[in-house]
Amino acid sequence: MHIMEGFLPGPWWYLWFVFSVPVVGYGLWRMKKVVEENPNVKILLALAGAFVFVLSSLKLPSVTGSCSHPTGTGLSVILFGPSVTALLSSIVLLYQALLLAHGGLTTWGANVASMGILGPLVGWLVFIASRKVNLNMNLAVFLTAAVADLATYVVTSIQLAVAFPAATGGVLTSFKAFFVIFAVTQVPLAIVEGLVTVVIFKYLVELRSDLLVHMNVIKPAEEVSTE
Amino acid sequence: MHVHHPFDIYTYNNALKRVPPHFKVLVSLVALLIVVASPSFVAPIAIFGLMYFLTVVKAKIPNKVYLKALTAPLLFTIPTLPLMAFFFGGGDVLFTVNILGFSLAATRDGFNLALLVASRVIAGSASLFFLAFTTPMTEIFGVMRALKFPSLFVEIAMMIYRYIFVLIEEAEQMIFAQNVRLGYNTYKRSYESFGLLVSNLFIRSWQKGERIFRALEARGYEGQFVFSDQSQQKITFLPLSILGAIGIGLVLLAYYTRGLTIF
Repeated sequence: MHIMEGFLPGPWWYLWFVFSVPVVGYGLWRMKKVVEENPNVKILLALAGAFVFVLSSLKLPSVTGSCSHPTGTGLSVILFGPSVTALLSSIVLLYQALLLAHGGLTTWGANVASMGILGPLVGWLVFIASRKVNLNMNLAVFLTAAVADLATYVVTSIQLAVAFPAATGGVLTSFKAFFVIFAVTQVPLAIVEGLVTVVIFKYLVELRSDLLVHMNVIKPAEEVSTE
Repeated sequence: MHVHHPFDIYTYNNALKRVPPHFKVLVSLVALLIVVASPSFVAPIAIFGLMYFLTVVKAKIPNKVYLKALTAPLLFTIPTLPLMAFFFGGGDVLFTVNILGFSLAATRDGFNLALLVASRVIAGSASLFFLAFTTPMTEIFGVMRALKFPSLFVEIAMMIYRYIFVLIEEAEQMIFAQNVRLGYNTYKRSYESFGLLVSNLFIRSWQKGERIFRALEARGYEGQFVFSDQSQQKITFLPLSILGAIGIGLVLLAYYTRGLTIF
């Protein structure tokens, strides 16, 4: 869920820059190491970034009738892990602001924090945990994508609440208010994105499970032979 | 089922295309900083007027396109405004309404906050649109390099920008192919179709990446692209001093209207 340009006053907009920039920098540093050993990763990551952008500009089959788009963060974190997802999201969010008017430049730091770093990180932890306990793959993918969306929305509500605390009751009251008002769109969206990600992942496993094994997403034993 | 189109096309044929990109980035950032720092709605409204003038009148972006772009920020803002008006304010109660047995009090501070935030979002979006409608992304990369952004970041950003359009084209072809084969025709099938579209798009991107790498390697690629900057225009003194004067004027406006409220 993008916070729009101009919505966050100082100091909040730049505090979120202070939070996000080092994390993106870390992702960049990690990537530099990988690229030095393996130059073709750079091109694959660029395509991955473009893929996340295009995914987020597709319209979801939706119940609510509102214009809802997948965030793609759940799928991205399953495929590429949290640090690469942070880096790719930071670029994708810049393009969403400049090319689609979703989000903004001053709110870039806050949006990267919620949609690029914290949401995907929580989703990734869910994915790791459900793989550990040998949960059914479909369920694991559903939970990862849905939880990543929900976590993003919780973080966004917190960001809005600390920037605009209620006069009586402070941050907590204001958090509850934002949380409830956005639940109308965000909870169905998380469920839809979870379902869609399951279908996407199912096809990926069927069509190119060798790629997923290569990327350490699934174990070699789970590979489906397409021969 | 359709793809959202970037409004990127306008950056290549607008009337302000020849203005140096550094200057346009500067204008947009100065405006944004004043907007988010402004304590009252007056300066944001002045900035909205200025940015609308620059984008629609000066750069000749169609009014319809501009207003359509503005709906995105408004859709996000509108649900939050009543929230602020009813919950966040201290001060006098302006009126109360009864909804499902709860009585909600709209307060003076709440209303003023909602007004301020709405003006900031509209003015902030207008400042962003000025840049987004007048400056090609390729020129913004030049500015990023001049500002010493990490080269790997700029390089990845440039490649992503290029492939976005390649993938949008692929996605549109796939959607077309799916539609003529009765994809998306029932609710359940639209999930299936959507999943097939996205997974195929991922696989296609991956294969494309592998092919591009092979093509690059055959041409001596060693992990670095070398670019030349075509736009080396300098910002002249006059526009810079006009920007400075307007900027200072707006800051003063924001300062002297700091206590101004409507309610």
